[in-house]
Amino acid sequence: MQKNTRRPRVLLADDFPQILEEVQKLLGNDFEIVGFAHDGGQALRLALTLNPDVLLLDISMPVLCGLEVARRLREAKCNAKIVFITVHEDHDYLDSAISVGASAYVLKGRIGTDLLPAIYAALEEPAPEQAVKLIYV
Amino acid sequence: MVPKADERYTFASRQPPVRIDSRAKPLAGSTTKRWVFVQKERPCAAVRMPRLSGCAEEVHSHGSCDPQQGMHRRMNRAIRVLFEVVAVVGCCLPRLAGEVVPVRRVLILNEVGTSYPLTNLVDLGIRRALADSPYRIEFYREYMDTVLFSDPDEQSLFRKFYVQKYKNHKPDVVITVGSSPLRFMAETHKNSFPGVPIVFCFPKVPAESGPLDPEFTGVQGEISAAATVGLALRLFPRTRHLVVVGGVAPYDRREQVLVKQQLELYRDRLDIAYLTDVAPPALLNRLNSLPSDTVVLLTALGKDSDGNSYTADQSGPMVVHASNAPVFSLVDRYLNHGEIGGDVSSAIKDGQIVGGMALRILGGQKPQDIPVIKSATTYMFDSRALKHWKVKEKLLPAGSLLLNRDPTMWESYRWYVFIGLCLVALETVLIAGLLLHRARRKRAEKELDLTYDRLRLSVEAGRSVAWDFDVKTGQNYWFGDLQMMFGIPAQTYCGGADDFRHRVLPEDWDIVADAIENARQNREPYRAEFRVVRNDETVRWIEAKGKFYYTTNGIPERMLGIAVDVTERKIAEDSLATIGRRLIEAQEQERARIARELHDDINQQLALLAVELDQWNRSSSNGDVHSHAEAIKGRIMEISRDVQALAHQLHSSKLEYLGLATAARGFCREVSQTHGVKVHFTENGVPRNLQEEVSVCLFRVLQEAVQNAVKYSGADHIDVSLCGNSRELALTVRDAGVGFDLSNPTKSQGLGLVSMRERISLVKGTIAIKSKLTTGTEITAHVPLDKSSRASELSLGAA
Repeated sequence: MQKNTRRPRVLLADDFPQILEEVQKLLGNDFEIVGFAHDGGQALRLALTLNPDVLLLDISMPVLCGLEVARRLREAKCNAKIVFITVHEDHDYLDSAISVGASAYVLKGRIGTDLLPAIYAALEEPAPEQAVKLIYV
Repeated sequence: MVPKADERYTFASRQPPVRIDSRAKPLAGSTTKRWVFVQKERPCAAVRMPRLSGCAEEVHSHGSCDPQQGMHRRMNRAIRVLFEVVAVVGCCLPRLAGEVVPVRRVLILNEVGTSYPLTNLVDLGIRRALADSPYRIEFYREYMDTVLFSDPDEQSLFRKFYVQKYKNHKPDVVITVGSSPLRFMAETHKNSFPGVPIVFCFPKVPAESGPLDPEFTGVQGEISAAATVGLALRLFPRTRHLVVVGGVAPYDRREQVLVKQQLELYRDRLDIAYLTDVAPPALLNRLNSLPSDTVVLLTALGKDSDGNSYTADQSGPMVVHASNAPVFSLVDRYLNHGEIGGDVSSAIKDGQIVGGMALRILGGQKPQDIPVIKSATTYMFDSRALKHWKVKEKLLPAGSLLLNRDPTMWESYRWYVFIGLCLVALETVLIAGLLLHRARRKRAEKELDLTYDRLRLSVEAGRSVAWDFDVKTGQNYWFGDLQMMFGIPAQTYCGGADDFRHRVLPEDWDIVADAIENARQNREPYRAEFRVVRNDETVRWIEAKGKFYYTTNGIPERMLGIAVDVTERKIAEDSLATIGRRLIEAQEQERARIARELHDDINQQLALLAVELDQWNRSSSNGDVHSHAEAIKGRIMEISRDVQALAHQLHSSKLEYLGLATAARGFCREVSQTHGVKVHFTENGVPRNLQEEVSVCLFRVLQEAVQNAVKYSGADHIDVSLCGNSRELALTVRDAGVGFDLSNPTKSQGLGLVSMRERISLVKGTIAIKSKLTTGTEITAHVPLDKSSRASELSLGAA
C-alpha cells in the first residue's frame, strides 16, 4: 500500500449542476476538487491546464461529448485518470469508453455506492471501507 | 387560162377506185355499156389510183410528182419491184433447177407506129397482162402505119411481107390493134395463119369487117359521146352550142360516125357544129371565137384536112389552147393538156383486157370460149381544167377520177398538222404536268412552311430552342425562344460550335462534351442537363436532347436536337428538395430534442433520485427499509433504461456520440437479438465524423432496409456493409429472401422505398434497388462526401 499524503486532485465535468453537487458531496474532504466544467470544451481545457489526477466525465455534454474529450486528452498525452459518470447503460458506450482509455465507468444512478470505489480503483489506491464496489457493467 | 400539159400528173379521187376488169359484165340498160363498177351512192371521190397512175407514168414519165403522191408511188413501185423480184426469182428458180420454161410468141400487129401514144398505151396494157404468164413471152411487133402508108398497094406489100415473115415462124397468138390489122387477119387468116388465135383490140371505133371465124375474139372499142355531152350540159347548164372537133384520118372518120349517132339525142337541145374538115389556122381561129355558151368535144384528130398528122399529145394542146370554150374529150389520150375530160375510154385498159385474153388462150382456152366484149369507159377529169372553168367537183359523177388534182392544204399538210397537234398535245400534257407539279410543290412548300411555323411556335411555346448543327461546316442553326434561353433578341441564330461552347457554364462543359461524344461514338441519343449563361449574365438550366445523323460511310454529318429551358423546374425541384430536407431535418431535430429531453432531464432526474435514495438508505439502519429501498432503486433504474430505449428509438444518441458505424452495428445487434434474424454487419473506412445529415440519412435508410428485410424477405440472414473512402460512402443491405416485384411492391414496401429515395436524394446520393422474386433483394446507397463533409471533419478535428 502506497502512502500518499496529498489528496487526489479531481476535476468534475457534467452539464447537469445537481449531479455536480451530488458528486461533490460524495467526494467529501478526501479529494481536492480542482474545478468544475459544464461542457466538453471546458472540460478539455481545464483538464489540460489543471492536470488533475482524476477526471470525472459525463458522456452527453454540449460542445464535445465526454468520449471525444477523453480521446483528445489521450492524444494530448494527458495522464489524468478518467472515470465516466453517465446514464448510458449500453455496451457500445462502455466499449467506446474503454477504447478511449477510461479507468472506470459508473452509472449515475449508482454513484452513491459505486463512484468512490471506482475512483480509488482508477488511482490504484486501496479504497476505504465504504468504497468497495467497482462497477464495470 | 388553160393549164399547160402538166409536169405534175396526179390521179386522185375521193372515192374508192373504179376497177376495170375483164371479168366485168356489161351493165344492164346502160346506154354506154360500160364495164364499170361504180359506187353511185357515193359522191365524187378522190382516192389515189396507183395502177392507173402507172399509165400516166408511162406517158408522162418526165413529170415531177406531189410529195405524198410520190411517196405512195414510191411505195407502190417498191411493192411492185418486190413482186417482180419475187416473180423473177420464181421464174429463175426452175431454170436454176434445170427446167426449161416454154416459150410463147405473141405477134402484135399495130395500126400505127410508136409515135402515136395509143400504140404505146395498148402495148403497155398487153405487157402488163402477160407479165403473169407462166411462159417466157417473146413479143413481135409490126406496124402497118396506115396513116403514112395509106396507099393500098403499099399496104399490100406490107401484108405480103408479114405473111412471108411469119410463114415458118407461126406465133402462138396474134393481137391486132386497130381496124386495119384486124381486116388483114380476117382476110389472110385461113391461108396464112391457119389455127393461130387472133385477139383484136379496137381502142377506137371498129371498122366494118366481115364475119369473123371462131378463132377470133377481142375487145371492141367504145366511145361515150352521149354521156360526155350529157355531163357537159350538167356542168355547163347554159350550153347552147356544141362544137365537135375531129380529123380526116380513117379512124377519125369512123369515130365521127359513132359520135354523130350518139349526139342525135341532143339535136334538138343543141346547136351542133362539126369542125372536122377545117385545118389550122382556120380551125384555131374558129375555136378562139366561139360564143360563150359553147362547149367543145374533141374527137380523134389524127390528120387534118390539109394532110398534117397529129398525135394526141399534139392535137390535144393545140385545140385546148385555141379554144375559148371548155373542151371535153372521149379518150384518155386527150387528157392532161387542159381538156376537162369526160366519159373516156382507156387504151391501157383495153390493152390489159386483150392481154388477159391472150394469156387465157396461151393457157389453153379456145378463142371461141372467150366472148367478145366492149371496152370500158371511165369518168375522168383534169382537175386543173375544172378549176379553170370553175366547175365544182361535187357536180361530177360518183367514182370519177381526177387528174392533176392539187392536194388540199389538209391533204398536203395533214401529217404535219397531225404531228404538230401531237406535239402541241404532248407539250400541253407536259405543261399541265409541270403546272400540276408546281401546284403540288407550292402546296408542299406551303405545308412545309406551316409545319415549320407549327414547329417554331411549339418550340417557342415550350420555351425551347431547336438546333441543326452541320458537323462538316461547324454551322449551328438555332431557332425558337432564343431571347429567353440565351438572351438573343431574335427568332433564329446561326453560330459556330465555339459559340455554343462559350455560352455553356464552364463547370458544366465537361458534362455536355461527354454527352455529345458518347452520343456520337455509340450512336445513342444525346441527352444532357446543364447551365448556360445568357447575354445578360444570368444563368439558365437547360435540358437538351438530340440525335446524330450519319453518312453512308458512318461519318457523322449532322446533329438535330431541341433544348428546353428547365430553370423553373430546377428551382421547383430545389425548393421541393429543400422543403423535404427541412421537413426531415425538422423531424429529426424534434426527435432529437425529445430524445435529449428524455435523456438529459428525465434520466438525470431519475439518476439523482436513485442517488438520493442511496443516501437515505445509508442513513437508515432498518433492514426492511434497506431491502425496500434497493427494490425502489432497481425500479428507478429500470425506468431509466426504458426512457433511454425510448430516446434511442426517437433519435439514436449513438450517432452523435459513437458515430455511424457503431450506431449501425448496435442497431444490427438489436435486430438480431429482438427478431431472431442474423444480421451480419461489416464496415470499412467509415469516416469518424460525418455530417449529421449524412449519418442520419444512412442510418434511417439502414433501419428501413433492415426492417423491410426482416418483415418481408423471410430470410434468416441479412448482410449489411458500410464502406467508405475519401469521396463517398456506400451502404449495402442484402438478403437472400423471397424478393419482390420492383414494378409492383407492396404498399409498405413502396412507401419505404419512396422514403429511402427521398432521404438519399436530399444528400445528393443515389440508391439502387435490385430485387428478383426468389433470389432476394439488394439495396445499395451511395452518398458523396463533399468538401463540406470533409471540412466539418477538419473543423471538428481542429476544435
